[in-house]
Amino acid sequence: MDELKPEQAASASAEVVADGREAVIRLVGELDITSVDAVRAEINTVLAASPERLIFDLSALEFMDSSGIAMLLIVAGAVGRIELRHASPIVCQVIEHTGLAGTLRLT
Amino acid sequence: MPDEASPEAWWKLRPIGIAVVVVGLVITGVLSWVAVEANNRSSSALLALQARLTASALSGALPAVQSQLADALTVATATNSPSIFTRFVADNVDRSKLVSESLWERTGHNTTLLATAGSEPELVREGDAAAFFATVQPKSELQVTGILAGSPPRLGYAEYPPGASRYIVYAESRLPASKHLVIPKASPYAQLNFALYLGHKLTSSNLIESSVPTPVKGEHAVVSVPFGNTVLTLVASPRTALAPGASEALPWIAGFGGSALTIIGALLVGYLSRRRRLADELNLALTSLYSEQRSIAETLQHSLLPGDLPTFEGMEIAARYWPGAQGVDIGGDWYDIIPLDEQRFVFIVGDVSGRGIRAAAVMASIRFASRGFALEGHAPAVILKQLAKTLDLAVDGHFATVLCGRVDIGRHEVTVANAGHLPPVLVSDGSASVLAAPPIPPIGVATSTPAEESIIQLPSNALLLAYTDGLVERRGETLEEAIGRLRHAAMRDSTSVDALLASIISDLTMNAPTDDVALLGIKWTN
Repeated sequence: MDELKPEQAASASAEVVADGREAVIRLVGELDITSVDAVRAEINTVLAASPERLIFDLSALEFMDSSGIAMLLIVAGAVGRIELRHASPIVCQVIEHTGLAGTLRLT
Repeated sequence: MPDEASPEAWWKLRPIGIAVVVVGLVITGVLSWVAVEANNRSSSALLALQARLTASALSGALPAVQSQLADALTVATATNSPSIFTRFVADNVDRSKLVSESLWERTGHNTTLLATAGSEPELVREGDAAAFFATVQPKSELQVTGILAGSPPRLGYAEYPPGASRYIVYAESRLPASKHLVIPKASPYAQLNFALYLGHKLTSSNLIESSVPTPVKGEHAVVSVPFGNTVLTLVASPRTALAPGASEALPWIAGFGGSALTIIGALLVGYLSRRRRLADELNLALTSLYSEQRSIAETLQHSLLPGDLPTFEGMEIAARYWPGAQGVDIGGDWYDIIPLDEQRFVFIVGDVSGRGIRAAAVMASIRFASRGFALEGHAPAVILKQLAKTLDLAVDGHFATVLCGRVDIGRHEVTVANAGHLPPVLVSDGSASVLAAPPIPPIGVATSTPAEESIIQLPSNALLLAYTDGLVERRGETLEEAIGRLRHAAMRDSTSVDALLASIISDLTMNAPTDDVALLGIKWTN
């Protein structure tokens, strides 16, 4: 082996727009087991400011697996109310097939 | 873990270190040689230059001699008086240079001595005068007669210019005793030793004077310059280093510097290659540790899955588990068949969220809990409700999607309840369709929605496929599209349920997805 190549890791990032009462977190990329922890950390810093409402902009989210869903559910449990906006058809179907369309409000 | 790579003595070189040393020393050698050559060339050039300058300076003394003799000749020609010649010479000639001057008269073939000033010419004393003067012809240059042996030896000059005069002025200068020249330290020639010859040939009879024993040995330069009617040949050798000190030191600098760099380079290369080998060994150890750990995990998971599936009259049942692509943690998928009696059994397919040992542990606990609830005879919806009490995402960090169905073989019926799981596929009469099994949230997610139960009547020879999302989930594709691919693969003709499952799995995992896969096939044989 000539050199150590880093494993191809899916990545996601969170871009935050917060104005005190409402925080909008824009998820970008693929949210799976390899990227969940980093995103969770960024969300935690947002939560530390105790926004009244937490909104996730999923327009740039390409993929989400069970780890990503678990993370969203845990955040929803902590905050009480979250909104998922502009989810792509792929993400929408994943949430629907998992029976979570009611729990994770899709708008 | 291999024991600490035995530390090699730091000075021991491996082949690459030896190669570096060899290359380095060769390059150093070449550079040093080049420096030596350059130094020698520069020294030689300087020597040649100094020799030429010295020779020119020495021969430059001749015009002065010639003008003195010419003046004396003019006086003699004008006065025709040997005595006035003698007095003129006594007054004007530089005695330190010329020790003897004489006036001769040429008449026809004879030449007679008219007057002498200074000491007697050696030429006369030796008796060579007649022979010599017979050969002297008018020339504009001063004619150097040759070296006269004696103690001290002398050099003779004749001034006999073309013209009407019948007089010849002859003079002799003294050479150093035994022709040994002493060069004063302050002299401009002090850097050189040299030997001076009359004429081109470097023979001892031609030697005028020399500061070192002749012939001159070692490095030397030979220069000839005009000297009257002949030439003066100078052989010069350096007494001290002519080139500046730095130039001489250059080969040493190149040699030591190059060798030092070579050794440092070799040691560095040795060090780096040892580090590299250590890193490679560590990498190997890590890789083998990882596969060891993974195989332990796989063994664990394998032992948590059912071994032989129970058999039923009138049914063909098969199941497959695919662990996911190499290099990823183990997953939390499972399947189970729980017999109730000869005609009925419960089947379960589930998927714990995330991956790793924890997910596998959650899977094990749910699986055994679900077996317990099933064996108590509960309907699928109740089983799911009971299961939901055993898992809490907020506490356990995982949820699980579960598809639970109860089959009644004789009635060709299946009762299905679904908590967040993908709907099963029904294959019958060569076509595959998706069964309706509306999902409630997964086990572990708090919800107030009770599970729905669907009772589905199945045709003869129906095949039911229950699976986990690893089989169909692909990036860039919706689940609908993906399930369509599954239906397509399921419609294929096959000799047995097991063979069909194998071909479905191999088809749909062709691009090696990372998620694990559980696939359960339940077929009515009539």
